Amino acid sequence: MTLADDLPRATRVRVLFFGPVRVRLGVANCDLACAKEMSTSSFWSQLIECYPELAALRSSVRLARNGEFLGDGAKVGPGDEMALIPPVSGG
Amino acid sequence: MTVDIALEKGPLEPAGPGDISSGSGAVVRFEGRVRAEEKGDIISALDYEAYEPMARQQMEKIAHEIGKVHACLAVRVRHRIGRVPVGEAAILVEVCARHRGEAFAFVTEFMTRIKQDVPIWKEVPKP
Repeated sequence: MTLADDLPRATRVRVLFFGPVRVRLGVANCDLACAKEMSTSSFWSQLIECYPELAALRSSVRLARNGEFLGDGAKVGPGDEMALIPPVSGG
Repeated sequence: MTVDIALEKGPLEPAGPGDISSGSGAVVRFEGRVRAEEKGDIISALDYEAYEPMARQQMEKIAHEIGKVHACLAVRVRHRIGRVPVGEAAILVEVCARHRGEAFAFVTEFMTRIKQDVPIWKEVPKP
């Protein structure tokens, strides 16, 4: 999986960055080429290849897929919208 | 229980009298305001950012979960996004219930959960 521009939805994962993660990376989102379903562990590994700064943040960041926090054993697949959710501070 | 939740970019306005259920013996209104101090520094505002679809969905889900424990009649929540000056409300939670106990309990629990599971972030604006 690599950073990808202008790929059809069915062949990529859109990744959204918020709060301190967005500030740290300096971008709000990216598209990753993704041809088949993968584990969240694989998703993280490949995302960290693209953004090594994420390695230090991973332990404090939760993943959401299509607007829902991911449960144990969840998969990431083509067409998904993934959000990296650092500790929240609303209210 | 009715649940009305929105994210807004301007100052938050409380519900009008017509929005209060006639069966309500208690109406609790909580405003979370921006303080002039953040982590020891004097500030003039905070910037709030949200993953908007998920933030709305999470607040609705949380409200319904809490409503099963603390039965209320109506809940209205407004969370502000964008720049919020000191002294203005970042969040407004209004709860109507038959009695005060469940209304106060609802608000307390809702504010605890929003600070754990709702994707909204605040940041001190850069000078």
